Parts: sequence; structure tokens; C-alpha cells
Amino acid sequence: MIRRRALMTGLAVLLSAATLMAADVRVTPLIAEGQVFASFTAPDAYSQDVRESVQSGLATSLTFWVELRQSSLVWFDRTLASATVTAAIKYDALTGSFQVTRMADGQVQSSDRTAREEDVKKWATEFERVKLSNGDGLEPNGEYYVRVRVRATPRRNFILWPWGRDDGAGRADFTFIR
Amino acid sequence: MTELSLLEPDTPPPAAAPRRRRPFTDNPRLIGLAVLILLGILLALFFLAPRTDQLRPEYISEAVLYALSSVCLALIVALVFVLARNLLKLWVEQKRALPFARFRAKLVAAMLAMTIVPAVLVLLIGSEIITSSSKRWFSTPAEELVHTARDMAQIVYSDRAAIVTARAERLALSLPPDALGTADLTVLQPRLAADLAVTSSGLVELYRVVTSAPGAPPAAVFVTSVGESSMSQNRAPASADRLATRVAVSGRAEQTQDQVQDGLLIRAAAPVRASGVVVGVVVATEALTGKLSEDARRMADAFSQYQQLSVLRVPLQGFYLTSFLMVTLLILISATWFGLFIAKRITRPVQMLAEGARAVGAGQLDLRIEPDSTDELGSLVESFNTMAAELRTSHERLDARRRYIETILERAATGVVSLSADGRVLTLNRAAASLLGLDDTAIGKPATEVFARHDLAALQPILDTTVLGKSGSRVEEITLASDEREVHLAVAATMLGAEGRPPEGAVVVFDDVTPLIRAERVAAWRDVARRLAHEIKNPLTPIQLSAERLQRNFATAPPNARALVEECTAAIITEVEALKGLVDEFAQFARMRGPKLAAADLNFLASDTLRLYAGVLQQGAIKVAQDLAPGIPRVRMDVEQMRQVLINLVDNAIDALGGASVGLGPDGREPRVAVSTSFDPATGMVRLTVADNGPGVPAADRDKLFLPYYSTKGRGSGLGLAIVGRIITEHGGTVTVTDAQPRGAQFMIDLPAA
Repeated sequence: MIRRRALMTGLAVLLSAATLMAADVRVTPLIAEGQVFASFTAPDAYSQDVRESVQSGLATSLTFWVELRQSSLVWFDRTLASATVTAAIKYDALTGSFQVTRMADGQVQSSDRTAREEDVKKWATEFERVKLSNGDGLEPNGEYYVRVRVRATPRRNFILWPWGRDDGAGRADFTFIR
Repeated sequence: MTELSLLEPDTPPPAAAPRRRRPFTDNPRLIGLAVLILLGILLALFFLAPRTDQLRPEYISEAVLYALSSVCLALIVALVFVLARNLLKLWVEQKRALPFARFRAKLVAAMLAMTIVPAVLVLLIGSEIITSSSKRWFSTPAEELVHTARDMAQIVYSDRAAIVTARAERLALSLPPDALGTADLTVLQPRLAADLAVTSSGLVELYRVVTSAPGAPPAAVFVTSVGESSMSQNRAPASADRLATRVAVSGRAEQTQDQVQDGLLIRAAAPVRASGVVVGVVVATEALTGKLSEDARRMADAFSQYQQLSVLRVPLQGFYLTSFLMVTLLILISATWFGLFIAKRITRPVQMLAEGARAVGAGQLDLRIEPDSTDELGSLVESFNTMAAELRTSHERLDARRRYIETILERAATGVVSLSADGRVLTLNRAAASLLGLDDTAIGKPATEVFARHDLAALQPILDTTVLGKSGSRVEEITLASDEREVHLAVAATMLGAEGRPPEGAVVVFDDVTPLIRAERVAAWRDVARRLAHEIKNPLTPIQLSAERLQRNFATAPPNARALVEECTAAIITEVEALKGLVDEFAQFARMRGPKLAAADLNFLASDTLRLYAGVLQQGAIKVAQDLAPGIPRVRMDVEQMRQVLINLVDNAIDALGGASVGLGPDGREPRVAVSTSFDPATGMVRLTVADNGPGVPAADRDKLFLPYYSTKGRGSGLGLAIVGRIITEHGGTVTVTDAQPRGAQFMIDLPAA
């Protein structure tokens, strides 16, 4: 009996991890004035788990790793540029308001307070024109792609092998035209 | 029992093995230190954990869980490695049938069986307790309680926020837009003061909306404020300015709050419109402080903490489960390792003792085992080392005694032959080998085969009745005769072994009694000679005188009678003279005095004596050669007796060559006598050699040459060489006869140097 319960607990943990893996990130690369930007939305990243975590008052954050990469046939794909974007959310249970702070590469970009959770979800999962590269080193008409991975903290699942697990990811290929 | 041979060299015992360094895993002090350090770290964590906010739940869900997972995975790998390694090792040891392999395997299995069941049970039960306990944390009554508390706190806040919002909106509606647009304080302040008089709390701020340029966003410019004096310190004007600006832009009422030192500031802003256009903004601020505020905050925080625990329930369970798993793995690893350690601690000294005993049994008596501990096993090892040391000492003592006895046996003039119980030759000393004419090849062979030689046939009856017949001991005097020599031996054969037990072999002792017998014969001959001299010499003088008287009386007799008498008396006188000479020789031999020893030069004696033969040998062809080594040591000798010796030997050689007047041989060979001297520093003996190239001496006659009255010439008294032998013996030397090269005989006299 005890063993079966332990087994069921383990399975539940694995299933929750698999659910988190299902989150999708929609990525839109932008090229303007020879520079590469990326806009992306990840509405699924603000999942029920994240929502519960936010409403519990935990300092919750969604971290997006945005990478400009080039495919390789014979080796691992090469990362040419990257940016880390974080949305940190803090909920005040007394006032019912959310404080959302957006950071790019560790620098605070904005900090807003709202009582509407829709605003929180929007601010935490939609990012516009995140700069990746000024175009140096990119080949004209070269094929590249932008990959965005997202991860929510704190984690609410438990597995014995916690490394290398993203909560969602998205990719968009583009041709660099200068 | 090891068979000892006198001729086998001693094998040196192998050197002791060098001391090895003890590894960490076999050092109880280091292991104890490591355990103490680990315990210290755990205690530090135990005391520090409640004192730091680094171990709050969200931190546990990240860093701690990662760390624990890493540790658990490492422990699983370590456990698998330790188990696999040792199982493989035990399997190999069992395959090789190494000592104590089964014992070690059983001990490790027992330790594992003793720990794995309770450890896994503790893990499962602990997991169940954690799971059920965590569910009880979030029971319905507790959840209702915290939710109600949160609702009450929010009601307090929302009620106050509603009041502030209503106040701002009421003022926005009641203030004249024109006065606000012109910032006419004489109109505005009385109205604000009247409101403050009604509410008697809070702060009201007025902003005028201006637009710097067409199309530019409107801005809120502070006009005036009215409020209680305590609010001025907590006004946070920047926050109010931002709120006013937002409302000026959006045209919608808004509410916000600011956290201040002693509570919360609730702000509400409402637009003032004139003909639908926002011309001003009223910002009302109320402080939520005091006991009620604190309680509301505390209730909200309690709700948050409860929710956080609920949200992080799974990671927290994982934390505890991982901790349990880690402890279980540690117990399993410790049990496995401890089993191996205990097995090693027990079996290694015993195994070393067993190997040491085998090595000591094989003769490695200098073996020492390093004790690993000071416990009973250490004492056992010490006792073993003491035993090995005593064995070595005893062995060395026995070995020294054995070598001493062997040396004595080797140097003894008595021959000793030991035989095994099955009649094989075990040992054979030098004297026995010399007496019996044997060598080392006889060792190990059956005695019946070794002594089957025809000249050793006299030994067979003794062996038959003692060694082979197993019938005690037998003493007998025998003579071993061969073509070359005749040896008289006193033989004593004795069985070895205690009575009532099977015989362990036999020992046969040989004493060469040939010189003794010779001496006895010489003594007997001297006695005979003395009697002959006494009995014969006395009547000879009257006989001679009577014969001479007859000659004188018959001098006037007729010629025939006179001739007969003269012939007879002459014969009588001649023979009597001869008998006198013979009797004188006998008397000389019988009454030979002892030598008067003094250091003298043997070379001078030899050359001086040989000078006497210069005239004697002139008519013949015999040549006397001298080869005298210069610088030889002087010899203590009786010069006259030694001169007699040399004369006798040279005379003997001349006689062997055919006499002083002999000519060249039929083959043209020149008869030759060679006299030489030499010195052997190793033995300290001076040698005088007299050799000839005559017919030589048959080997069978050599031992008899020095007996009195033994002669191969058919004439003479036969005392010449007997006198030589006696003089040399009394000088402490030896005389031997061998064949000369290429032919002839040579007599070698060895005398000790002075």
C-alpha cells in the first residue's frame, strides 16, 4: 500500500513536469535598420501553477532566454547572441494588487502595479522588440532562428533529475536581409 | 623432517617484506575524524537553518532541492559502485578460492540484510508520514480560517479605500472647475477645510491640469492641499503626483497605495471636469495605521504564508523525501562499507597470520607481520611475531650447532656415514669419502649399491646385520684391500632411534687403524731385532776368534789341509762379519735414539749429502740432479737422521736403477735420480722429493715399503725405508710414495717449517 502510494506520487510529479513542458512560446523575429529584434508571447507560461504561485504571495518570476542561433548540420547549433528577460511578479494579499517588474539582462525596464490579473498576465508574457543583435557578424541572406525558452520560478514540481527542464519553448526561423 | 646433507650449502632465508603504508579506508582514526566533521556540518546546519531566511520555502524549491538531488544521485552512483565492485570482488575471490572469501561475503550480506530492510521500511513509512502530514497542513478548517482572516483584512482595506475614493469623487464633483482652473485658493481652501472638518482625517491635494502644447499629454500641477498635520510626514508627494498625472491622462478615477514606515497610505484620485474636459484632479489620501492596520497586514501575511506552503507542498514533500532517501542511501552505503571494513579488519590479520604461518613453515623465519590494531587481534599478531622471532633464534642456534657438528665431522679423521631408514646414504664426511674412496655421488644412493664395490665387500656383512637387518649395533675391525693399498678400519655401525620405535636409520663410523697396526708391527720388529742382536751377536765373536785361531794353527799344516782350513775359516769369518753387520743394523734399528731437533737448512743438507755420491757414481751412467727451491724456510730436524733419510732414499733409488755402475738403458734412457725441495705456504710444509726413472713401485707394495724387513730387492736387511719412515714420523712429517712422471717412483717427505 505504502509502496503504491509512493509510486503514484512519483508518477504525479512526472506528469506535472510533462504538463509544464507543453507551454508554447510564439516568437516573431524583427529586422529593422540591420538590427535583429524578437517579439514573443507565451500566454501558456502564465499557467495555473504560476497563477497559484503568484496569488500565494510568492515572489514569482518568468524568465525568458532569447537566443539568436544558427543551425549546423554536423554540430550543435551556434548561439550568436542572447538576451535574458525576466518578469517578476509580487502579489499583495491585503490590497489585492500585483507589482510587476520587467528586467532585461538584469536591468529593470519597468515596474507597474495593478489590481487586474489580465494586466499581470499580459505584462509577464508579452514582450516587444527585445534587441538581440546589431547585425554585426550576421551574413546577408543567412538563415537564422530565434529560440525562446521560458522557465517559471519557484518550481512547484519535484523530480530527482531537475536539470535541463524548461517550462516552454518556441522558435522562429528567418532570413537575415540587410 | 628436512634431510640435512653435509655437502649442501645453507640457503639464506628470504628478506622480510617492506612495510606498506596504510590506506585511508583502513585507518580508523581518519575515518573517525571524517565522521566527526560530517556530524559537525550537520549540527551546524541544524542550528543555522532557523536563523537564516535563505532556507525559506521558495529557496528550498530551488537551490536546496537541486543540492539534495545531486547528493542523492551521487549517493546512488556510489552505492551501485560500491555494491558492484565488492560483489565482483567477492565473486572473484570465491572463484579463486581465496581464504576467507566466503566469510567476507557472508558478513557483508548479513550487514546489508540487517540494514536494508529497516532502512527501506523507514524510508517508506517516513514518506507516507510526510505525505499524510502535509495533507493535514492544508485541512479544510485551517484553510477556511486563513481565507476568512484574509477576507477580513481585505474588508478593512477595501472599506477604507472605498471611503477615500468616495471622498475624492465627492470633492471632485463639489469643487468649482473655474476656481480650480485659475487656482483660486480663496474659493478652494474653504471648501477643502469644510470637508476636513467633516472627516477630520486624511489629506486632500488638488492638481490643476495643464497642456504645454497642442497634442501634448496633459500634466497635473499641484495647487494646494489640506489635511491633518501628521499626514504631512507621510505624504509621499511623488506618488501622489504620479497618480494625479495618470488620472489627468486617463480621465478615470484611480486608486493606489504606498507602503510607508508605520503602515499603508491609501490614495484615491478623481478627475474634475468642466464641460467633459478634465481640468483638475483631486487626490485623497488616508493612512491605514495603528493596531487595526497591523492586524490586517498580519492576517494578509499569514494567508500568504499559508498559500505559499500550499503552493510549494510538492517541493517540500520532495525535500523531505529526498532527505529521507539520502539518509537511507547513506545508511546502505555505510552498512556495505562497514561490513566490508569489519570483514577486512577481522579477516586480514587472520589471513596474514595464516600466510605468515605458511611462510614460517617454508623457512621464512624473519617474517614479521605489522599489527594493525592494539586489540586482541593485534595481540595475536604480536604473539605470532614473538613466536617467529623465537623460532628464528632457535633455528639459528640449531643451525650454528649443526654447522659446528658438520665442521667437526668434516675435519675429523674418523669417517662417518649416515644412512636413512630405507638404507640410503644420507651424509658422508670427508674422512669417510677418503677412507672408502667415495665421492658426493654416493649421497642418496642405496648403501647396498654404494658398498657393492669389491674392495668394500668387507663392509657388507656389517651392513647386512645392522642397517638392513635392523639388529642394533656392531663393532668390527676389517681390512679393505685393493690393488693400490690396504687399509685397516675399525668399524662401528649403530642403529638410530629410540627403543620400541621403528629405526630412523643408522650411522657407520670408520677409524683408520692402519698407522696403529704399523706401529704395533714396528714395535714388534724392534723387539725381535733387539733379541736377535742380543742372542746372535754374542756367539759371533767366539766363532770368529775360533776361526782365526784355526787359521793360525793350520798355517804349518800340509798344503791340502791348510788350503781347506783357510777356505773354510775364511768363509766362516766372512759370514760372521756379514752377520755382525746385519746384527749391527738390527741393533741400530732397535736402539734408534729420538731426534735432536734444531732449525736447519734442508737445501744445504741435501746438497751436502749429494756431494758424497760424486765419486761413487763416476763409473756409471747415473746422474743425480738437484732442483732446490731457493728461500725455503728452515726446518726443525735432526741433521744426522735426516742425512740418513736422504742417503737411504738415494741408495734405494740407485738400487732401483740397477746399481751405481749401471750404464744406459736398452732404450738409451739415462738413469737419473732427482732431488728437489719446495715450500707450500698454504700448509706451511716443506717438501723434499727424491725421484728416479727406474721401474717404479707397484701400488700394492707402497703401503708395505716402510715396514721393517720388507724388501723388493731380494737382498739387504729391509730396514732402510723402515728407518726412513720412523725418522720422518718422529719429525712430525709424512712420507708417501707415488709414481714419477713419465716413469719411476718418487718419495715425497713433508716436514713442518720451523
